[in-house]
Amino acid sequence: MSEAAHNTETNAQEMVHQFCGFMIDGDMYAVPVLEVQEVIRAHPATVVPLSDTCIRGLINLRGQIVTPVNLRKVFGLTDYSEDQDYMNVIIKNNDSLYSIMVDEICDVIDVEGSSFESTPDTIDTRLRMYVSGVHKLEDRLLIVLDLKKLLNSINNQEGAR
Amino acid sequence: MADTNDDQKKQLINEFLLETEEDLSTINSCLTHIEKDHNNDEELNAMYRAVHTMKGAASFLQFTKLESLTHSIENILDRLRQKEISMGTKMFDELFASIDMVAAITNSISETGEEGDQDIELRVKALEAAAANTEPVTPNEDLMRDVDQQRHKIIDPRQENLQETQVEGGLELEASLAEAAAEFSEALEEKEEPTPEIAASPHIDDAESESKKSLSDSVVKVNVSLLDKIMNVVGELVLARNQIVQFANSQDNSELNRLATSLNVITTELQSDIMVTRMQPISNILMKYERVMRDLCRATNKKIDLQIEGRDTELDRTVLEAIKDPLSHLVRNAADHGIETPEERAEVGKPDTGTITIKAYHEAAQVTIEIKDDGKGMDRDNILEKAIEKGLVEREAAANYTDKQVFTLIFHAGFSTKEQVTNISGRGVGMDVVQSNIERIGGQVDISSELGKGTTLKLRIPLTLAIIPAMIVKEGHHDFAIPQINLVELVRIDSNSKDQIENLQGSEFFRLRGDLIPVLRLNQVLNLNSDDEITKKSDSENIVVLTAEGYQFGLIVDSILDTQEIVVKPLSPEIKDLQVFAGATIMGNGAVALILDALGFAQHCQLNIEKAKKDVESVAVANQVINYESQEMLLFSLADKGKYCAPLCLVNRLEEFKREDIERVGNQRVVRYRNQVMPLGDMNEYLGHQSGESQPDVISVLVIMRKGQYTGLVVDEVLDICLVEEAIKPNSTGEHGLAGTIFVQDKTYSVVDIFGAVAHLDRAHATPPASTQIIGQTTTKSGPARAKIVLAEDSPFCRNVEKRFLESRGFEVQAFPNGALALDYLKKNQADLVISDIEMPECNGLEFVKQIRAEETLRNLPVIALTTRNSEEDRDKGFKAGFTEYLEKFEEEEVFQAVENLLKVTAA
Repeated sequence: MSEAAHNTETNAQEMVHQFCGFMIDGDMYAVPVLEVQEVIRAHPATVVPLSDTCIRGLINLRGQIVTPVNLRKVFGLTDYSEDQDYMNVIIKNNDSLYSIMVDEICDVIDVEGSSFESTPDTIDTRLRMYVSGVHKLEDRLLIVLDLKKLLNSINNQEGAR
Repeated sequence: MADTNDDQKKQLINEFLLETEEDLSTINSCLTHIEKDHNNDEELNAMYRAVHTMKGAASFLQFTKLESLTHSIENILDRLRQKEISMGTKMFDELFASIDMVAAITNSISETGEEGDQDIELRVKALEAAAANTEPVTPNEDLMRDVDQQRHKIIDPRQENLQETQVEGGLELEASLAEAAAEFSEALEEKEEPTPEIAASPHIDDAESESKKSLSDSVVKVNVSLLDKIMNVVGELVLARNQIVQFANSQDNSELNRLATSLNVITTELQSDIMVTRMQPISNILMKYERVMRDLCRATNKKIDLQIEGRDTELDRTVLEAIKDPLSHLVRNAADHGIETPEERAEVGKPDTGTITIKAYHEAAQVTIEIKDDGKGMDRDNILEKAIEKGLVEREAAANYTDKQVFTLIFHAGFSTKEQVTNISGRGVGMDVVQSNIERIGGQVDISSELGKGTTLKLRIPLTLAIIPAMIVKEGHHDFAIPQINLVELVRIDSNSKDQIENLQGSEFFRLRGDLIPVLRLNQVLNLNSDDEITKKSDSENIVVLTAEGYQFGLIVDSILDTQEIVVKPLSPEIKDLQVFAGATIMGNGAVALILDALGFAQHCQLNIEKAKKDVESVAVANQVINYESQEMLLFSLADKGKYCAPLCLVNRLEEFKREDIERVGNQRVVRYRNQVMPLGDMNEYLGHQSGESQPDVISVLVIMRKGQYTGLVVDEVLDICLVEEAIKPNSTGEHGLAGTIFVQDKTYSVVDIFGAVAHLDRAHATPPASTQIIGQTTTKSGPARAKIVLAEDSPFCRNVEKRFLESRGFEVQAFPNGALALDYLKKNQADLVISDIEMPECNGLEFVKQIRAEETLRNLPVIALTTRNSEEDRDKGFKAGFTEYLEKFEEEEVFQAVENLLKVTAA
């Protein structure tokens, strides 16, 4: 039986999803790996005056302008200290490049659809609107972020100002 | 006119041929597929659409044969789509044959400009016969031969020419084609009889004309988005090149240097070539106006000659796209508003036919497009009148406007001078859109006009939007790029002349050759926390003077670096929405720098600037709302060279009179003023000073209005009017005629008791004493049991005086600087009576009293107007608005009487 045929027969619940996992302030988050263009080290950013505080500035990624978003600010966590290192997860949304700033990048995580659960009520309200659900892993929870919602909400905040 | 018409048509035909070529290949391939798979509805539809388009174009260009042929093909296809008829081999043969004939006709058009002599009718009949599925008619031998011949003709010359044309450059070809086509039509006219042989005529027997047949072979249609992408990639290449060159220069490696240099050369060449692909001649949009103009002439009964110069001037296609609408608006305007009717023109001795010239040319790194008409020009007064009527400008301010400023008014939204709206222009939307559209792409609109002679509009447009020259400035550690197009000049102010930046009401202004322009500090506007105070302490200021929407403002920056060609990179929406930045660019060192959008920047700061302007105009108002204790003082000097002042709110006017105009009535000096005899009192005399020896020809007089009677007080010199935040310190020395002292600009001034002076004059001339001293009266009389009075008065001076007086008479007084605050208080608290000024900011007395009357609980509250506006008309207005009593300021006894009476009434 060919691979393709096998896949179509497989129940969606058992499909293996691949996520790019990362840590922010001790918690593990993830975005679908296909949404990630690349991951780069911390990059000096040009501050954009008057912009929302969660926008770190602008960075130059091989000649393209990337807008880094500080998730710690979005989620209301303690901000990075001066010398704290972080990583940029580069994501494309509506023709613009964004970078999600994370503390540390984990491996690509394979999870089965069956471990998916909708967002638990206990998740902080500031965070919940950006979460599409969680995956139960063996030893911890993987919080899956809805990037579109996240980036759009920044847009809207800006628009409202 | 005829020439341009032909040109235009030829261009259209060329486009049509290009398109037909594509359509035909689509149709052929579809037809082949359908023949194999009869159920291929998708391709059938595609084919149907292609034929339909062709038919439309043919009918538009009046190729009747082509039209009827395509029409019948379309019919058949439609019936096939509807499954009304079935597809047989015969049918496909007929369709193919018909398509070939279409190709033959278009080819003939391409060669001769005419459709040729194909026999359409037979073809159509054969087609219909096949469709009707009646006796399948075989197209007769002639027809077949005919078609074959045509096919031959089409294919052969093309194959011959193929090689040559591929060698030729596409762009040049197009131009030469147009020429060849012109020659062709001439040849045709001469010969009268279009025959295939014409192809051999000497006129066209050269390479240029031969190449024409294969127009479509030499031009490749490329998707614009692909070009844009290539442009982007080249932009990145340019940046990478910059970085490598910079790096190579810092290395002592000759091989690397050599490589970098050659990379540099190649990149530059590639960059300029790729720019060229996006360039299009401006004639692409200008040509359309010839047609537009003809329609306009017909619609308006005007005679207009349109002249276009500089058709070949090239612009980036995005720029071209952006100026299309604004330009067309301006041309229509010139025709509709500018050029007069032939009769009007005859009256002023101009030739019947008006001329509109559109001229496009390169100037510096810009393209200038001039639209010039020799019409009636713009009428300054007319425009001003309209602008005033529409509330765009104040009448007083308008008088000082330069012509240019006046003309710029037409760019205001909602401005249209044409009395009657025509369907051509004059809906009052447009000029503002024109300006903002042009400015959005970094262009500028300039207007000049001479009444009766005509109007010239100049659009200055950047060549391209992708790479622009910009000035790099530094603020703290931040680099910003300012597009050169917004830059007017750079000004450097040394610390020793720093007073050139003036601070008016918290906003900074700078006097640039006499003009007061607002100055913004980049770090303040952008909230950049300047953590390095050291750089701030530099001994000079750099002002970058920018222009946006004809509005100039200065921007103070830390330092000015240099000018560079920068590649504009788009910003993500959340940053774009800030409107302050036009984009970002990458500097030689790889860092990102933001590009300031002067227009957005100005709009962002507009509030501040507008507010500042207002503040300057009506000095006190804004500040008094914020700071209730500030007031305007009139500073003047007297014979003893002392510093004196008086609250401005007590002085009605400042006047100067010639000494010879002063008359004497008895021992009273008088002067005629506003149909009254105004007694003059000498301030020096009142204060017991010796009158100065000098007897100037012109005397300065403070005009005071009391009880409808003017009184003039003569002072030596009026010095200034100042906004003072200090309170008046009541006179402790008891010196005669002085109400107190006040600090003005760190100096002590004596406040003169103005009403005392008036009263002194009255007493001296036998009028019974009427006035009390306005400050410092503290005797408490027993009033009615602590009635509560709410006082609304904006001038702190008057407020204090009135409050103190009322309190001295035993009332409880709550004072507010405007009606709005007082109303708030009234809504929540009980009061027995209200006293209000008329002239107040925020909520004036009339509004205030209306609002009081509108409140259920306050309807019967007595409200006294206390004002210096005392004409009959004012009083009427006051009573109409709902005041119970209307009294003059500082007539304390009268006020007291009125208050007591009203309170008695309400108590009863």
